[in-house]
Amino acid sequence: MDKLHFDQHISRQYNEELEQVRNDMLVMGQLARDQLAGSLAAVLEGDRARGLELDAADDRIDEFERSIDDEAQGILARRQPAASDLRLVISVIKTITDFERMGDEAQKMARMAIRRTDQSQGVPPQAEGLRRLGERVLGMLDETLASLATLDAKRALAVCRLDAEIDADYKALIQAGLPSMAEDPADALDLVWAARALERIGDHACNICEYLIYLLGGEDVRHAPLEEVAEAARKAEDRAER
Amino acid sequence: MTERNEPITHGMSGALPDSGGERLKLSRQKPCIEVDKLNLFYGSTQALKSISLTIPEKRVTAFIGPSGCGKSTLLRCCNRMNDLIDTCRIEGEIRLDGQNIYAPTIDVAELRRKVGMVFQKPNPFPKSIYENVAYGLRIQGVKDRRVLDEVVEKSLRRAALWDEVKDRLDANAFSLSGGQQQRLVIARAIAIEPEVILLDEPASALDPISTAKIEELIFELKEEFTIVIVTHNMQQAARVSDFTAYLYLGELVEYDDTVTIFTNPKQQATEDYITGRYG
Repeated sequence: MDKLHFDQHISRQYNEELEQVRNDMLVMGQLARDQLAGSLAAVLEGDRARGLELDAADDRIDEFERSIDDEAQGILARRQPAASDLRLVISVIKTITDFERMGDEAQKMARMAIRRTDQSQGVPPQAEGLRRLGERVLGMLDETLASLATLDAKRALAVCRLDAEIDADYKALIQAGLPSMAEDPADALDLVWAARALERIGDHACNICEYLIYLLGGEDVRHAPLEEVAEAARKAEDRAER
Repeated sequence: MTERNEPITHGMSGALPDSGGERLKLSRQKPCIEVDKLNLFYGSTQALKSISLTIPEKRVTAFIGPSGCGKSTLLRCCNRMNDLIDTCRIEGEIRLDGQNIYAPTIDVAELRRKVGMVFQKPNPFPKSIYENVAYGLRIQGVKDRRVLDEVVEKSLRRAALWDEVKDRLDANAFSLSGGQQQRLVIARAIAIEPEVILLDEPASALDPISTAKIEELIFELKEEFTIVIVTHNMQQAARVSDFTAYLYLGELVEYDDTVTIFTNPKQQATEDYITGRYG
């Protein structure tokens, strides 16, 4: 499981610090994931109470971000990590930023649910398409969290590959919603915003998987073509098997 | 919507942040010392096993590794300090500027003039500050006071010690602090214009401030000299060196630019050592 042997330092305290920061990151990711699932349901079901609850839940994610950054800063200052330890700390710091943004996107949806129920707007247009896109993004997020937990570069790469499909679904959904623009622009705009939030969350998931491939293989694959990401992921896997 | 990998086409005139410039490539360096299949034995014990590496000119190269890995032995080979040990036997070559320093025709005194050395414990002579620095020149027969004055001042300045000692050049070297003594020893080494300076744990007996001064000095000295440093302090190797060699049990495990060694080493053994994992 621990392909990078984070638990094998001479200093047991150091093992525990790295383990802790990694765990906290995973917990934060799970919070962001639950936040998204709940907000999506609140929008689709017009559930005001749930919207309120999830709007408030974002504070918890923000707290996690601050406290993980604090832990990471402590490790940098006191341990001067090198090699995979350094890459771990860097990738944690970056990953939680993306989790936090996911939380913000989910919060937008929660607020949308509140507003729509307040204005008795009911379910947004193309609800079924929105649900499908939401489920795909949630699936992507589950895979992201699983890749992070198991330090699996191949699985992370699969998430990056999914991003193009999510983008296509998003475009199709917007296209489908366009005709309703004339009838009810406010309603149509909500569809656009909700779909947009989901698409952005997919991008964040993809970013996180790129950080994971960097952590595992040492190669920075941000903004690289997918073939390069694949190559880096393959190298990272080879290395883990050695 | 954000497409992946969309090239940035709008006008971006700002230069990229300087991350220490392009990463140094070993293969693009001008060689100074070439170690070629070096084996070293102390009696029947083999301390260095077929070591081959090229130390680039006017760069700082660090040797790291656990105690007994052979890093100090390898350093001492570079100016034949191991000759002083009776049971020591060497195979292979070390070339300085292309010339094998173990060739029978080599004048060892001349070699050591070109390849200076500084040890862990500062070892000034029991003489004045001035005479410590002038020592090498006096040995070479320089008597002209003006020349001596000039070299002493220049060397002390290059060793970042001048301002602290200029008013007491006649004071005994032992009146200086440990950190100052170490910089004095470095001034003595550079007074005779060597090509290479070998530093064997030069800061491990010093406090953090003196250590920082030595490290700053190393950074400046590489403008003119090739520096090789052995250190147990990995952060120090990371801070001061351009290239790092990791040795273990007499073998060269990995040798690369320092940033690569400390962020993404290729060998698991290197990774385990620099991150403090069980070997």
